[in-house]
Amino acid sequence: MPNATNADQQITSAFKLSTAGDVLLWHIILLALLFASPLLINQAAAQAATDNKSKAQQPHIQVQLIAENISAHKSRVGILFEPEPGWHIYWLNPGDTGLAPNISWRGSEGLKFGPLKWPMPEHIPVAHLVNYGYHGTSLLWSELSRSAGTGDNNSKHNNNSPGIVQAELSWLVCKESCVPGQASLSLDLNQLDQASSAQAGKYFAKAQAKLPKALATMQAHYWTDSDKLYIDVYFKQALFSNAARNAHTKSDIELFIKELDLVNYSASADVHAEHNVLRWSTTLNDYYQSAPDRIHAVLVLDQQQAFEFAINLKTEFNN
Amino acid sequence: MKIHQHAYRLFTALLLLALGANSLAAAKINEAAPEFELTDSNSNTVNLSQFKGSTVILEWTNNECPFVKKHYDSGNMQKLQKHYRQQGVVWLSIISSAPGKQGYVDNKTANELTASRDAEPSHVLFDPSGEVGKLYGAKTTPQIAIIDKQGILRYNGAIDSIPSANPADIAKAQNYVDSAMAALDKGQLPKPAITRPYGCSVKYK
Repeated sequence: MPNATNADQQITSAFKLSTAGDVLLWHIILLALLFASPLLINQAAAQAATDNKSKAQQPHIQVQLIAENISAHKSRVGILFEPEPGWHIYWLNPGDTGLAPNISWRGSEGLKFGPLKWPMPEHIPVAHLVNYGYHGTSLLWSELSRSAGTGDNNSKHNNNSPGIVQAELSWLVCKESCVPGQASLSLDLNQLDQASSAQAGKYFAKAQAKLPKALATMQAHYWTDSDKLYIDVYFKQALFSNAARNAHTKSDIELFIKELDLVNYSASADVHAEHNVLRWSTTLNDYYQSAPDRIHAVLVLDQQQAFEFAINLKTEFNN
Repeated sequence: MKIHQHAYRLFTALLLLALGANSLAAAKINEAAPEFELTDSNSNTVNLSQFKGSTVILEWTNNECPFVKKHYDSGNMQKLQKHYRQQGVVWLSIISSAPGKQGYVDNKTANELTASRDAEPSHVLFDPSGEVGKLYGAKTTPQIAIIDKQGILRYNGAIDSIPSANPADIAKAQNYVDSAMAALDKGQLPKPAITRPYGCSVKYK
């Protein structure tokens, strides 16, 4: 802790110095930080290694690090969140309030973690506000590749083979009120028995089914005016029936935008869905400032199938 | 005479209606902050307009919310309150929790909380109907809105730049109250002027 505070003070003073234009001191401070940071990381790793456990029971939620070994070089690792009935955690865009869970993976040398995969979220209304998140058991996970290290052969209990996975996680679990939590979990993939790998596999399969599938588009544009955001997408395949479907309810055609502060989460959307075309518009978020060049959407149909695609900002040049 | 009275009543009713409708226009950044009237923890009536000429900071709060605790247990909120009140700024802590919901307190508890936390708001205001909270687009506790001396809303959003419940993040974050107040002091517009607030949902009815 004292180290971290010092580092912060150093960063603050570094900024002050840079405005004074003192480049040499900047370098010295950066070097000092470079030397200090491995110490901090080692300390944290040692701390995590001492409480070597894959599961934690915390107020209103249980979190567990699970893994499935797919081959000698491929695994899946994930955090299983099991809140009490009625409690929920959040999607990567939590909506009006709330906080997305944060997972940072660390592992022994030779382990490479893919990006975190997020199953399709649900709308969670709170008074006149709306959140995006998950009730019940949910799994956030990453693909893990285990590179063949030196001396790696068929020996199953090779001490040098990479296998220790650690997760530093924090979350917010809410019902009416919210409780933040954090945990350090770890798991040795080399000690993983077949039964628990298979058990984890069931969770991964379930989560995979709820993962949005990448959907190809012929054209996907969005634009904004003073108070609304409009989306116009032509998919490569027909997603909807030929009869126009104008949904004003949120249950059969839901669109979740990954970017924060873009759309008003509680406003109802105007939806026109026909054949391979989706036109969608809604009011802008209270905290909307500017339109990013590209946004990312998850489309959920009948609360069952989820798709994802990117949408480009319409400019004078590409309309 | 009777007709006169009726006309008068009708006139006041219309006037109230017009004023009411006016005061329900949602707060917008760089526009006049909408007027409100609430009761404080000493049962006094407090209007926003009575502070014209002073900078006013609105702080939405709920003492049981972990994000509010982050800023009170660390002393961060009290430090801000003291610092700005010394400069003549009016600090209004607003509780928009509905009766029976988390954070809803009576006068006595509100004053005890102020004393025990060594807090220094100018007033603790009750907004049990949630009208003022909704008027200012308050979504979370904490959330901060800053109104300049001319009565213009200049900042609305988070207290700082790191959305977490961890007090250790306070020192690393950019405090948006400080950055907005510094800008206003120099006669500039706060940057950012609008941020996504973080914290517990305001416990509206």
